[in-house]
Amino acid sequence: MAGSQLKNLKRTLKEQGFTGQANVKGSTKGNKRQAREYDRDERAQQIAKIREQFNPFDMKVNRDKRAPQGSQKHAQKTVGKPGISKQIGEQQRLQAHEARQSRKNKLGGVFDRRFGERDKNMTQEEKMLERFTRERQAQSSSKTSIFNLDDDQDEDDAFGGNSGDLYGGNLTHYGKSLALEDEFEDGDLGLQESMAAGESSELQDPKRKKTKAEVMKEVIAKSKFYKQERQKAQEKLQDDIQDVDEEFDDIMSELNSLPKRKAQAEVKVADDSDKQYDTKVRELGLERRAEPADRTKTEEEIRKENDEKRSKLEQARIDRMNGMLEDEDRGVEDLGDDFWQGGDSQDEFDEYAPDSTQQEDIELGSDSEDNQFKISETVSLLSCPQTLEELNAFLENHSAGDHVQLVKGIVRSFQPRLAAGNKEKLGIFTGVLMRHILSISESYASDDVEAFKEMQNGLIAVLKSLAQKYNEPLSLACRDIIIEMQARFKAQRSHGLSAADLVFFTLVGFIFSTSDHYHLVVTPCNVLMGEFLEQIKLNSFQNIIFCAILARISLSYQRISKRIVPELGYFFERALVTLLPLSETELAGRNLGNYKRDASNLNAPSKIPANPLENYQLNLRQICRADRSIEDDEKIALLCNILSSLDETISKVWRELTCFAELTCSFRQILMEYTVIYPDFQMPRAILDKIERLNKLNKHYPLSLQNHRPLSIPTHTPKFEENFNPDKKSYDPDRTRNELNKMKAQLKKDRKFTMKEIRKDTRFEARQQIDQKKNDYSDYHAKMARIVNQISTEEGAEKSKYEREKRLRSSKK
Amino acid sequence: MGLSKSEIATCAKRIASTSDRRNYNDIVKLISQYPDFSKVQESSFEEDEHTLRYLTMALMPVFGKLFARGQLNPSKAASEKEKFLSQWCRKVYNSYKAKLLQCISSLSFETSLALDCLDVYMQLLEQEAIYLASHDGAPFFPNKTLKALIVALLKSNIQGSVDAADGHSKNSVILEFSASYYKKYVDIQYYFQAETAQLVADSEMMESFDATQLFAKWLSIMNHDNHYLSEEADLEIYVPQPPQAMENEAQYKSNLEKNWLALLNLNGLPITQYKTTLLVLHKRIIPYFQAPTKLMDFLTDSYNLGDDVVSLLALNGLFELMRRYNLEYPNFYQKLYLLVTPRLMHVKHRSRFLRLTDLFLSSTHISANLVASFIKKLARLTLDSPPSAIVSVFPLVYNLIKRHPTCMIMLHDPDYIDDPFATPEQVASLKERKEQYTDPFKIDEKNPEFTNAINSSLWELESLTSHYHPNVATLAKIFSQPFRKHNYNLEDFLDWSYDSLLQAEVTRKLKVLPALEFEEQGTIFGEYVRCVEW
Repeated sequence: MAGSQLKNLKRTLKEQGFTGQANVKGSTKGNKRQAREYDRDERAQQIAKIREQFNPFDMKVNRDKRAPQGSQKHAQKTVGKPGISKQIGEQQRLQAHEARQSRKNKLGGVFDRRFGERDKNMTQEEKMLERFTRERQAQSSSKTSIFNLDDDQDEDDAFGGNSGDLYGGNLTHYGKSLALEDEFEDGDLGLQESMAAGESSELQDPKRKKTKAEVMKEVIAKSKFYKQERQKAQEKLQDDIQDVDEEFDDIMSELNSLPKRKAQAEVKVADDSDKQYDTKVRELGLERRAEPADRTKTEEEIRKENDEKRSKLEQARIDRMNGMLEDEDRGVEDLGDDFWQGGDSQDEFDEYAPDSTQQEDIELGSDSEDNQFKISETVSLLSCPQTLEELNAFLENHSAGDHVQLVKGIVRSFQPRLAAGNKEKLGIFTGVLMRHILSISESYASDDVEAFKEMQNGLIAVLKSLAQKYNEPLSLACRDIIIEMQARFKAQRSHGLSAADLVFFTLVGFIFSTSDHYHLVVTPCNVLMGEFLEQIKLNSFQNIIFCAILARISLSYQRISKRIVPELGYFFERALVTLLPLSETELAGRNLGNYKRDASNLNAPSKIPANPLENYQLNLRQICRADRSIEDDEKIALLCNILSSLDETISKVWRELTCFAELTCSFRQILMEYTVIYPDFQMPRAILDKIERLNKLNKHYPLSLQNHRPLSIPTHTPKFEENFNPDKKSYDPDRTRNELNKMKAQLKKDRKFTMKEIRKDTRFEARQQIDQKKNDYSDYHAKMARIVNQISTEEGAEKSKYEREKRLRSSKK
Repeated sequence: MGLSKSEIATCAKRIASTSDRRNYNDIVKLISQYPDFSKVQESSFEEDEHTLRYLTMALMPVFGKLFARGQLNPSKAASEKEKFLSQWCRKVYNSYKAKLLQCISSLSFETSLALDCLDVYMQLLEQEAIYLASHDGAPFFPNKTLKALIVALLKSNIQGSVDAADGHSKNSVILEFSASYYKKYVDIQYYFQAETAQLVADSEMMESFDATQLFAKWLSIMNHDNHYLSEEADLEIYVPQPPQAMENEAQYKSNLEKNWLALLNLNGLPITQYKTTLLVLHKRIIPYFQAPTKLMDFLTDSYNLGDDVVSLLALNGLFELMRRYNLEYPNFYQKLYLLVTPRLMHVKHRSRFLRLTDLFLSSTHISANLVASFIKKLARLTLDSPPSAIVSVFPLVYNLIKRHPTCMIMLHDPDYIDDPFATPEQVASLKERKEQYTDPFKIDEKNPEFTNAINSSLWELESLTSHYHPNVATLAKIFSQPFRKHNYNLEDFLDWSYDSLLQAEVTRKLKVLPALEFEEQGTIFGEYVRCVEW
């Protein structure tokens, strides 16, 4: 367009017919319109368009510099109207501001009437309880309604009451209840009923509309009817009362004439039966609903079930062995059915533990019936022993044979379901029983080995069944024992240890699952056994026997998981070298000088026959007696035992390891010496042969542990893209990085936007404040001016009046 | 003998207060009160001790007065007569000093009197420095007096004064001398070293002393950080005007060095003293030597003593000399390798050994053969070690492999990978290779360069993934995972023990209930644990 902006504007206005002469060419007068053809709206639109056209700053065009000239992209321009959007924003802010301003310094809103919602002194349970009682009260009050006869109604009512009274109060409007209940007792509210009826009929038949007069008539009729009814009832009641009043004297006289006792008895009987009835009803209410009884299973099914159970347990054990902890966080939803049904799972104990006791009860019951009775008698007088001293004090009055029965009696008479607190007591008792078993194995001096064994095994059986239920207290007790044992070892070295400690380790292995990758009781036990095996000085036969038994126990621990215990190998080396009947110099000469020997006088006897002993069992009790001298036979038994332990270790644990050759290397040397010194002795040779055999089977070739999938090296240099699309934001092949960048960009954008908005808001607020102040200021000044004006005019008026008066007077003079 | 305290007091007062020379004869009388200390018995000494202390204390101001009157310096005497008097006084003074020294050197038991004698003697030394100088204010240090004291100190022979644990002397006189004088005063340090250097040169004298005692005393005096040459030392001068010669640092250094070497070469020193010396070698000995490489012989001898700890510490010293002072010591790593014995993992100094080994092997310029030998040997030792030792070996080996990637072949030999896409021939050849393979590692080889460990493999570490302790087993898995970590901080792993392992276990919370054994195992002994009966 040529020409100046003003000229253009003028021209456009003229073209549109807003300005200039209305009729350019001397239009005919008859042709003249009364009003313009333009509608007012249309006119406004046109003007807006023109305004837009001539105000280039209202529109902002984003030019895309990247897009090639002439392409379609170039044609589409993003157009924005910053001025207008600004204005809209301003308006919105103003609205919000005004809304805020109008709410300022005003209270109100929704009031939370829920019971105890804001009360911090109440616990969640108390709140719930209170709400529940209120709800119940509301319900029961609604139930007392006189017309409440059938069940449906009842349910409805309950429902209605529920919804109304859930939060401990009725909804009201100006203090009147909004509940839609029919309470006919109130005369006025009868009206409501009729209205409700009318409404319902209305719903049924919406076409017919009642006139107001009809409605009123009905209402009046109904109210009259009910009034009559009520009056009748009232009269009847009055009559009844009167009758009773009249008869009162008669009844009283009759009552007085009756023999008193009988009457009381009768009343009592009635009461009793009522009570019985009540209790029955209550019991019935509490009783669980009957379930169909399980079908008696066939033997096959039972066996199958047992197998399944076992395989499940086995699988769980293997998982634990491989370090997969699945039941670490067991949620509520994972708890089995029996948890929900069984309540406190007290029945579990009944299932497991007394199984054995009951069986044994029968066995033992046959030989002495009254003995059994006596035991239960004595036990019943006792409180559950909570310390070792208490238990000992209780048991020492009885013969050793009865101990198992007595302990069983304790367990039976303190079952958790019999009294509250029994569960905790038995838990502690489990630990006490453990300690008791340890202490008797240390202090028992009787020679009757068989009887003692029986007692020990009986007690252990009880302990094992108790462990099922009182796992946690038992574990804690075990840990305490471990700490004590280590403290003893630290203070007195091997003198602090005794047979009881070996019994403890055995019991732990016996009760707990030793194959776990990590176990809260077994792992510390393993560490402690390792410490003993490594640090006990082999300077007496007792110590060697102790360690040899420890090695046996350790082997039992590893019988399933087959984990390597380096201390075990160390002990075998030391023990075998110590037992070799050679002097230090001879050892050094045979290249065995590297092995540590704590004492040089503990040698095996100089001659050992080919197959010396059938039975090379080690006797646990020997350790208790430190002063005893060891016979040659026992020395041979010890040697044989250690060798057989070694044999077992080799064939069970080590054979699968890649370092089998390295592990057995030192033993080959030592066993060689044995074969040289004892040419007839078969055992070392057999082990050597075994080592050779297994060595051939062993996979002994270089490792390839680092055979991992190759990792891509991240590239950061830009890559040339064939079909580069500028709309695609990123060509990064790394997906995570891509996501990350996207996220970052978005965050940045949002942040920028939010900051902008916040700034705008604050600026707006500031402006508003200034405006406000200005307004206040000008108001004030206007007011003051007005007042001053008023005063001055009044003054002026008075003055002029005065002047006038003065003038008048002076003129009078 | 037999003057009471009050008599001593009056005598001393009389001499000190008036300048009447007739009273001077009393000094001789007082000095003669001292018994012959070498014959004194501990039991009978208790009563006399009090009087003797009083006597010593009383005589001290008397000689102070004599000093002040200038009657102890014959060269300054004005007349012949005065000179004669001065000479006489000097003689009396010397006899007093001799008594004091005798008290220090000859008593075979500890008394506080000896400490008092030392204090008095040192005060006299200060007086001498003031009054016996050639003219007033001239710099002078009475080194002869100090030497006499040193001899007395070294002669002092109190039974059981050598600390069995670290080989220091517990002799209270020595400790007092060290704490109150040697550690505080620079001039005493200088002249002490100078005079001791002369003493040490006198071999006859040296032989007359008990080596252990001598070295213990030396250690007690020298084992601190407040030395003449150290930078942060906080020292004063004892005498008011010490001579200029004292500033000769080189002289001091060479004296010190001479003394140390002479004393270290004594025969029959106990292991503990070697250990103590080696422990302080870095900080308290090497920096004050003029030529620290002279210690090499001592260190080699220490290594050869046969004690593991001492050998290790000796190697540490040698390493320091090699690193800082360009010592050439070709057999260093061989000697270190010899210390890796099966015993190592079960002794207390294990963590120190591993820490130092980590330091010694930190160079990237040592051969892969050597590093591989160390790795393999340490790995072999883990097979019968406690868990605490195993966990400290793992990070060390990891760091070594990371530093010497050539050793990775011990963990990963690509020739033995089972390739699922291999041709039958390849499979056959692989199988043959596997069967043919024999471990070339020579465990008995003494030189780490020739053990052939680099061609072996670390089966030991792989097997420990089935260690009974779950943490050890898990840590062992780092060798089969990608080596992404730059290195492990060895210090985090060194100080574990059974105690700490157990402590960590038993303080753990019972989150999950311990699993129970579900199988029936019969009776506990005989059936569960076999071959053991009750």
